[in-house]
Amino acid sequence: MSAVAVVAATADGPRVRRGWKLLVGGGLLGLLALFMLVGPLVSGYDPNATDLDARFSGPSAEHWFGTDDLGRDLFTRMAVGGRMTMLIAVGTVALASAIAVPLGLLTGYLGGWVDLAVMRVVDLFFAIPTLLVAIGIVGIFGPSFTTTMLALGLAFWPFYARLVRSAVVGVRDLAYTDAARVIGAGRWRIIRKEIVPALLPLLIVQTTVLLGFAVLDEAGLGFLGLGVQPPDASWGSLLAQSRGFVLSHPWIGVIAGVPILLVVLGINIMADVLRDRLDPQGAST
Amino acid sequence: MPKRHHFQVLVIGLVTAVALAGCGGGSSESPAAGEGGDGATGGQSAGPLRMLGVEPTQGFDPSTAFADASRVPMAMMYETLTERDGEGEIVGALAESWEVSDDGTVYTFTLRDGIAFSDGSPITAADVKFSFDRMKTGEALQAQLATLTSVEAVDDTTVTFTLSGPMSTFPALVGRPANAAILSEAAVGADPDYFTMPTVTSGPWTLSEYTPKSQMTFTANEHYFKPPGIATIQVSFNNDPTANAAALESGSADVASVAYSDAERLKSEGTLQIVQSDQLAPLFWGWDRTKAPFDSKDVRQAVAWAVDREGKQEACWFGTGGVTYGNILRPWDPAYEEINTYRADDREDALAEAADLLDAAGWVEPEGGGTRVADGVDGVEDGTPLAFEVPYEGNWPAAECHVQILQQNLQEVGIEVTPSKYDPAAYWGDVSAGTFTMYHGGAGAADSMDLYANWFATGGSLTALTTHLDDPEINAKVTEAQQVDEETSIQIIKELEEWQAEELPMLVVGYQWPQVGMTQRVQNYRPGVDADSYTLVEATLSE
Repeated sequence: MSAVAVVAATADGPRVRRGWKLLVGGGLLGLLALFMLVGPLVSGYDPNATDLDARFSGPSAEHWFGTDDLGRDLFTRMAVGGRMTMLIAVGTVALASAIAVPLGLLTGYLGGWVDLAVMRVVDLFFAIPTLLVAIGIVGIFGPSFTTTMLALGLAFWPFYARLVRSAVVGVRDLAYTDAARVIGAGRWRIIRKEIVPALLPLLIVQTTVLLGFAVLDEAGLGFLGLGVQPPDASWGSLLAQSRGFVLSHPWIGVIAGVPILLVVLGINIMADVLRDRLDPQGAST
Repeated sequence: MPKRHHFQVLVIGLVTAVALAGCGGGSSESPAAGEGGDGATGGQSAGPLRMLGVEPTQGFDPSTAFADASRVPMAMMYETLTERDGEGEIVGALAESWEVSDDGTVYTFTLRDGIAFSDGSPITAADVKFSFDRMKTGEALQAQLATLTSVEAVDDTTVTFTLSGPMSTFPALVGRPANAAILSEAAVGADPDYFTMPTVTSGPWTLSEYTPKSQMTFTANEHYFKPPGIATIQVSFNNDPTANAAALESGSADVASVAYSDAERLKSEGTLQIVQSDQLAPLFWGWDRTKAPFDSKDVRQAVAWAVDREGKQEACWFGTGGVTYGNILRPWDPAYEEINTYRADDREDALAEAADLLDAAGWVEPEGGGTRVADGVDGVEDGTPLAFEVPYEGNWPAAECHVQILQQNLQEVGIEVTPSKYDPAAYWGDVSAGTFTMYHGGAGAADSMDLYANWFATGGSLTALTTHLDDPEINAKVTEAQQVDEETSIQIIKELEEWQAEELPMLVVGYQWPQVGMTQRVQNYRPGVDADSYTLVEATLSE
């Protein structure tokens, strides 16, 4: 996982390149969103309905993405699975943000023993790979949609919290926060009115980046069989399912994997665009 | 746990396994095959033969370990008195011959001359007595040996078994690979931790190295009466059949079980040898018959009508294994007589039969369709939906496939099934505890007698695990089948087949065939004739 630094955009960053990024990123995400929302309606198939006479049929006019080992329409399952994956990703980021942002603000602003205690917990999480934390949580509670979301959310918050805390430390002693303090503003008011607005670009960009990681890690957990359970589909579980046929029917794996690549690419491009747009120094370019 | 599941995986081991069948021998009726060690005449391949197999999760004690993961390596290490040859006939292994008394209660086995354990110490009748005394109290064969009252070592090579009644299947029972193992009394007595790493053993290979989570190595037992064709076998632990196929194709392994999807592809490509074995390894649905809905025979039979057996076998096992519409036994079993209780002309008829039975059981379709609800079912509040979870072992892909098809099948008759992927480590413990309303399973048996004694008679290991039967009538039939002449025994087993098809203590729907992939380097390998009897002893390696 990487953090997004609040740095100045290159002064000569051409607007035209940003426009392309927006077009490509937004277009990718828009298309995928359209696919997920209306795909099942367009295909007309039940995502879980088996058709044993149509097993492993390749992409055709009848089944645009082909069918799986039980004859289920892969186009429909990918669309429905995409919804599941995105729901998990959004839920994950929401949970991580709900924990990380308040903790980061508090520890960064208050410092002292609060900072010390919380950051040591964060250090503890840093010592364990993110996916391993998630696997541990799924191992305790059992694999499901909710658990996947919970596991990833709990695995992601420490990185986010440290980032927020660092950003708060960077702005808490700036002149305008000192000025607010001098005119008698309380600490909560300073946090709400002075610090949070300064952090908003960072929060928005980092949330977007995290979304991409959540999609990837959902796929990782699903691939390990620890995500959404069959017959329900998510992109991760579909990728895992394709693994059994990777030598005999490799196209299933390709179809299951490409949307993950595209959505993460789209999210990352959009995060880049957002960073450029929200960076106050870059905005002048 | 029974030899569940991962047949593909266990098979691998099974392949290596036994070697027992190649061990020659003979009975009073059938002279020893290959006596004198004909397998050694062609010379021994140094090897190593590189295999991929599963880790022996239950250790190496033949009296307690009954999971295939352990039975496979044990069958390589330990020899039995008898075994099945390539045609399924019982022939001598460590025993050269045997006789039975007129009343069928005393069996006298004569050991081969000059047989020895891997350390060179002789295998004597005292070792046989020690082994069977131990076996009688162990979990693996306790039920089957219930009629064995005493074992006596008459002299060094003669041992008598006295039974409480006639038991025509006794020669087969003492040939149960791995579990009916002949142990060295001196070696076991000398080391309290003997079974952690047994090195003084009676089988064709000895365990020379075992690294948990990694691999084990077997070395040919130079004192075995029929030296195996391969001197060294290295088994690396791996649970992934797809990875197995890739390893075979790349040449990094010589023998491995392969996934069904890969087996079909590899067969058509013709670059590897693929061996399939028609064995008595049923796949079944188990259920809790102590409470609704499966306390009702009508509901059990409705499910039996509603499941699409051929579709399931095609989808999950790529058409191998075969299906059944009532039998448990395979067509090659002498007691097999085709039963078609649940075969319909077409799917619509089968679903109609299922619907009628559910209606009769009080599970009715609500207006507008959907999941059936209780209407006058004993002990169930009216309006309760006919819905339940069906767990399956999380590490068994075919089970996941089965359960998803079951869900679709039963949905057609208004039963709502939720597949539940279950922790494999806890699965059979929870099956045994009666936790599940309905569940998926697979197991194996050596033959019809072994199956009915073990699955449906009180004290059988699978009875305790799954069917939980304690029916005096069934127990009496099973006991009688073991004690009467072969023809009568077959007749009784046929009656038991009819009984289970009607009562459905479990629902057997198909079979799993082990599928073993081998590189062309492996030669002279013969597939086994039952779940236990694989022959690797005569296999060799080309250089």
